[in-house]
Amino acid sequence: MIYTLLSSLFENARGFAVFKYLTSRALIAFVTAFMISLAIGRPIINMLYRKGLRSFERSYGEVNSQKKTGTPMMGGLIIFITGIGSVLMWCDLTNPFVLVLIAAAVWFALFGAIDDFLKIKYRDPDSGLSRSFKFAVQIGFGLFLAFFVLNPDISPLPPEIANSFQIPFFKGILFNSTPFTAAFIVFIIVYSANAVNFADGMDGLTTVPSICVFIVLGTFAYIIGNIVHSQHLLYEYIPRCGEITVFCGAIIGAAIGFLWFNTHPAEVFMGDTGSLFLGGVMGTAAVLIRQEVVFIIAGAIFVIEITSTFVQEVVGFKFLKRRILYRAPIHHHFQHKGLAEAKVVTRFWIISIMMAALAIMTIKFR
Amino acid sequence: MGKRFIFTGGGSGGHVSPALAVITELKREMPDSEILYVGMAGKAECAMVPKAGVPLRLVKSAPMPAGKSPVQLAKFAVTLTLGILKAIGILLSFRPDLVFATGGYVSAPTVFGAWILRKISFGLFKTKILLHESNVDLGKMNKMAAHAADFIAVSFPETIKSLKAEKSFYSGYPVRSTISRHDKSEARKTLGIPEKSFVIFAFGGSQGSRTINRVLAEAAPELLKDPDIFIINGAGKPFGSSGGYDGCKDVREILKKEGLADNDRYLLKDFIDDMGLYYAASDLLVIRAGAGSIMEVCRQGKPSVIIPITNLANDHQVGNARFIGKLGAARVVYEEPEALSPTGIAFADKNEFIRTVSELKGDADALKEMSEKAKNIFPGNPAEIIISNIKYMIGEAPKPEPVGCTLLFNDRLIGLNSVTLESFMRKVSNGTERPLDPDEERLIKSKIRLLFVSKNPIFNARACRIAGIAGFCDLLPSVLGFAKNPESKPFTSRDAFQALSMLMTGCEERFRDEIVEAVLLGIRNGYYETRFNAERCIPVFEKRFGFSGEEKRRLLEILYKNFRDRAFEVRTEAVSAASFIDSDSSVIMKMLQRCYYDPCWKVRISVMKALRHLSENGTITPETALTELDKILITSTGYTTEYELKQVYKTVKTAISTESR
Repeated sequence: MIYTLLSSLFENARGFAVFKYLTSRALIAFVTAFMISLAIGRPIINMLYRKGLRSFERSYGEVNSQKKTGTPMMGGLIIFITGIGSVLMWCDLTNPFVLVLIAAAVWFALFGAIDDFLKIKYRDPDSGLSRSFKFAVQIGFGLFLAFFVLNPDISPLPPEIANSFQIPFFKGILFNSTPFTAAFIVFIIVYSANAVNFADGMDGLTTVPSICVFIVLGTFAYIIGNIVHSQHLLYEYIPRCGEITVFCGAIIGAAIGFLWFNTHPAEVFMGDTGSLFLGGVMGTAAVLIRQEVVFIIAGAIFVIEITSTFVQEVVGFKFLKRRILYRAPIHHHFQHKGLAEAKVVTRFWIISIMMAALAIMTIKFR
Repeated sequence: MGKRFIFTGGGSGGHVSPALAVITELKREMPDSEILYVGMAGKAECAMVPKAGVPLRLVKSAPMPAGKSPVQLAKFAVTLTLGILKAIGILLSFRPDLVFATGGYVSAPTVFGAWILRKISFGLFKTKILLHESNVDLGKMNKMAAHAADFIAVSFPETIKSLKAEKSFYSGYPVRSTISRHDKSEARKTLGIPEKSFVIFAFGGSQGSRTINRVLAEAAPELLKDPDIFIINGAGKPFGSSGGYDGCKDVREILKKEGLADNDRYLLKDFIDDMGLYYAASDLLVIRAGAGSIMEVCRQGKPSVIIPITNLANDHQVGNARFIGKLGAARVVYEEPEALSPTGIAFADKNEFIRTVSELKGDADALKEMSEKAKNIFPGNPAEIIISNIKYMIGEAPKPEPVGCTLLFNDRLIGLNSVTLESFMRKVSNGTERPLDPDEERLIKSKIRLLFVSKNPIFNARACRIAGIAGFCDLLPSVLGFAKNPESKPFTSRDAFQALSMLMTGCEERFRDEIVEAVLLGIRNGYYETRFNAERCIPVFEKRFGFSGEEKRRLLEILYKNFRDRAFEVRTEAVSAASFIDSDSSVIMKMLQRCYYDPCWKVRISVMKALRHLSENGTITPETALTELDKILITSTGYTTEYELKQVYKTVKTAISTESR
């Protein structure tokens, strides 16, 4: 909104031209989101606690000074409010990419919040939304996104790029196929929402890897949306998708602001509100710039988390009737082996930073 | 003008006969009323309702699918919707004043149809809805329909607790009064039973019950040694032409084997017409726990031995049986599956049955007390109570006085599945729930045995765990069987060993060698959790029985290999187990020294504890233990945090609450 106000001033006043640039707006959105989180974080946490939206154990136990029971949940609200708030302020709201991302954010945050609320209401992690309902929510959005991207009448992407498959270390488009792309888009959305959800199990474990992924996606969006850079670096140019950079900037700011409270020992958990929201939005952003494989590399932590859960529950429990890892998702495996929580989290951060660096590296190594 | 009523409910005879009993009474009370029965094609109502001279209309319905498969759910939804539409048609054309439903999915279309009509017709459609529940625990259908109904009549006073008090009343289970009354000695004369006999009358409904027939036939040789005992067995005959279980043939074969084929004190009947005569002649009844039979027997004021069918939906027979048993009107004998047999056919333990029967036979006072109690469980005439409430509902009479109920009790064991049973037993063992009484223990053991024979290894594993938590030492043979069986699935063998370590302290000496054998196999198992759970058994065994020198040698050979296992838990437990059984300081110290820098600190903790244990039992001197302790790497990645605030909160809270007391 501020962007729309200021855009009328671009022509006349020289000083305001700075707001026209994507990079400067991304940074401003970043700082704004961060500052808002710091300001509203504490009141929101207090509100959540007062309303009884706290984490729980299966049974009403004694207060245990070593356990996290009682920490406010649904902290994803902080990321959602500040991130989307900053987006509304600093993004070009006529840009179709931004509108789809906002839709994704609202959709996933809404169902995540409902899920959290039900779980807390019944004090039972199994009485939230059912597994099939969650899948329906994710697949539903995936189908919508596939339709949006692949339908030439409404898609902001050029048709030959919309149904393309691109991989790192390889110049240009690998192949074009509409059915494959549609299926792949649905897969990416379901994968990313679930993977981030599984990763959300320790203080700060989801936040930093998500930030890394958004940095990578923001960088790629900037390059792909810039006609000079994309030609220079041999990417398929997608007009107007640079605005995604600003969006990513805002989300990064919000996530860092959330980390301020969420870092070990956590004062608030993001809950499904946060994890579904972050997962859904990052998957959508990756699809919109047609860089899903880069996204998978940058979010390697999420791949490990979801694969470990799948291997343990489906291959192990269902078929072999045994454990394959000590515990799943994999962060609990390490914790069971004797690594302190803070150590597991920091090591996962390191891995995600390394993987983000690798993803950025693919820009030049082609 | 006469009032109009729709009756619905069915699927099985148990839902139809109470409706018919009410209809008979209703016709007598309000002769000008019009009655219609709504049922489903091919179910019990199609045979029974026309016979009673009541017009019958059919609708479609379907039971709620057990699984969550979307295809089945969709099918269910479509069928039910069609059924409701048809039922709405019937309701609109018949315009009843009241719908009386006895439960079962057959009644769903009519009840929900009437409810929907009431909701959307802005008060034009005023039909009242009355439900009747025949079991202690509400059926699936009635649970949902309870919201739609105006009133719910219940057969057991117990049930009112799970309903809204102002919407429910106790009525009992209406039965048609066709049971004739006879004098005891006259009845015996008619049937040719000696006057002084103790008559046991066992019947399992019209189709007979395999469990009742078998336990009776197998117990017969023992029971008939007593010259006073006379057995009447209503063994049942197969329903229709489809074959099925032929009770009479089955019993005859068993009797022949026992040499009792023509015993004149074992009266075998395939079908009994005049129940009243037999009731009158008998001293003790052996029955299933269907609501109908229980109600009938109690109203006759007869003491009974109840053998409920386990594993039914909602455990409703067990619930009914325990209700009557707790009130002191019956003894309950639980079914048990054939231990570890592939068929898993249920049977009742004949020794327990014989013991129960002979105990009751010798105790005339107890029998008398039981029959007194039985008479008082279901006061009033059910059909009359229901009719007076129907009259109240259609505005023809004032609200009737509620009929007094017998005492209520909370049955905490009903409706437990294997998962909830496990968490329940955990609560019992940590003291959150009160301890089991002997009857509850019998029921739980019977449930565990059912899980033992399940084909699903997850259930076998859970059964082992529950047995272990509960400390049921008499279940040790089954647990041992799973532990020794190399075919057991990983989770099953793991939990078998876990249970073994818990049950060993109380088990009998004769299992000693088998346990050693199992443990020797277990610590070499291919699955790491089995290995370390087997290793955990070693210290317990050493304390309980003690290993021989040769056994120790064989165990240590494997344990020392496990010191290098890939899974840290196996290493941890191997270290601990070895320190318990190795008394040769030079060997164990050499092996322990290899673990001083183990990458996993949990193993090093175990090494430290092993050193303590070794110095305690004198294998090494305290000085050596101290020097060795200092050689261990004590930097670790494990670290537990504490929330100081929560700590203070706890101390302050306990302090204040103790002061206030």
